[in-house]
Amino acid sequence: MSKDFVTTLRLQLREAAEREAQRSRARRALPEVRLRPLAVTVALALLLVALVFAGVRLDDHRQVPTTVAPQIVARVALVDQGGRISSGFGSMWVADQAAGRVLRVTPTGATSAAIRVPGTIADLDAAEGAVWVLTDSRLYRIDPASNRVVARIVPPVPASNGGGLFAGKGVMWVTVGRSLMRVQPRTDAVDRSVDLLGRGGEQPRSGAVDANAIYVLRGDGEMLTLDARTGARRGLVRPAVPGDPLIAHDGRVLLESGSGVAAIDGRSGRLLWRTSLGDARINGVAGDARALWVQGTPTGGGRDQLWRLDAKGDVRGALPLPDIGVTGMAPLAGRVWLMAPTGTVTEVR
Amino acid sequence: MGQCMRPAVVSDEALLAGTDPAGFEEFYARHVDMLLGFFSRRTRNADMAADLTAETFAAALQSRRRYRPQSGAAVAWLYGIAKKKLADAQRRGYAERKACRRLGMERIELTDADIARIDALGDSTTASALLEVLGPEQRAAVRAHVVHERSYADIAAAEHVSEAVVRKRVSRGLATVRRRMGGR
Repeated sequence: MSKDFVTTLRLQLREAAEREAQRSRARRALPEVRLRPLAVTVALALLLVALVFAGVRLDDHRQVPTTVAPQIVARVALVDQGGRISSGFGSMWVADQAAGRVLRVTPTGATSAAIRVPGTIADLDAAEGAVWVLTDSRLYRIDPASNRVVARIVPPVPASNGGGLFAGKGVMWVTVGRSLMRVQPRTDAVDRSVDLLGRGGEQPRSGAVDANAIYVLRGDGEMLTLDARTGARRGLVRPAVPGDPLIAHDGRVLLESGSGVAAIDGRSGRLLWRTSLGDARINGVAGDARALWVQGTPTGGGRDQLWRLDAKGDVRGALPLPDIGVTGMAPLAGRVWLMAPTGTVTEVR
Repeated sequence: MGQCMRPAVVSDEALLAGTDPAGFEEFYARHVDMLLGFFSRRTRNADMAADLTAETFAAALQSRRRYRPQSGAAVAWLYGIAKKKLADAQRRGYAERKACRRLGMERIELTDADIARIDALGDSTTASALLEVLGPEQRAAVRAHVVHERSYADIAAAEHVSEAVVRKRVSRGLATVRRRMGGR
């Protein structure tokens, strides 16, 4: 299946959208300039300071090894349309959107099973003893021992416009819009719902989960912490830096922050570290105990990049990628798999 | 630690109404195939379908700040533009490239594989293609009942409406689909 036209148009629209956004920012800034000559002077002074700092940051960034450590070890065309992927039970589980099924793929890239799952797959996660697949109407549970669907759960709020799936502490969580629903693996039933609407009625923006807590960034910029098992509220903090949560681990929450990523303490919101990745938009993150992988698009143009960071946020390598965009990322056996919108998987070590 | 992609909970409406370039890209990815199929079925010309698709998304990108979620579904808004572009093209005999030019987007030459794929999308009679003309509520109801074989009671409970409402949505949706297929 050719995606050339679709991919090329996507790239053209991406560039046009970036230009439109820049124009839009400029338009918004213009009236201020006209009305406040003093503000212009101050802004120019600040710009000068910012440029000095930017120069320093760029110098720092040039020291980052750009092509060394990470290497592409394999590329496999697995499906016609890329979707989510998740690793578990010694395999990679791949959403095959176009065919309405989930593939079980060995670490060598061979498909060992195909499990039919009707509907549009919003997310999948291999966790809590099963592979969970959230579609626009149901949550399916696949038994990895038999590769069969063993439960079909109807969430009270269907993921008609997409939804997310997270493993908590012995439970699974489904997020759809403002609703967070707890699924009990023992009973295969939704037994709790939490409304995530902010005080001012704002929708939640994004969230991340680790073994103990669920971190939800509300529309008002505050981060709500919930217990990963019960959903009970544990705290509300304003993160030291603004940004959407991408991933969480051991009480630390990784945020997309400005032109890079930042880690904050989930309990206090305190900044732990911050790393600039040049001028890039972050598309996806995956990690394990060995490394944190970040996929992004340089906003100034150029190929998508994959950065490898260590636990302190230091960049340990970067790699230009052959595909545009990423629909799923997951670590497997010390490597990371990236699923492109075209359905091709790139394996990097 | 697991994986985390950009949250999938964002609705079409939020993607379109925002100013984030990535949001529009995701909106494009969700609907490009459906739009290509829509134009391909109506024009029977892959080149024109491709040009119209590019022009429709370019026009949508240019005017996204005028879109208001409360005025209707984002996909309906997109198809509103698409239908206008199609009518213009049928009147002129070619697809306009006004919005594309304004955004500095060059015309994309199709490969044989592109043409085959667009033709295939046009030939597709999948449920999704047939449902594209329906409003969001009817489309969701028909998809849930007919495609996913869920009961009326089940859908009603999930949508927080009565069974009668769901039956009406399915019935009217199917009637529209039948009319579109040429039946009565």
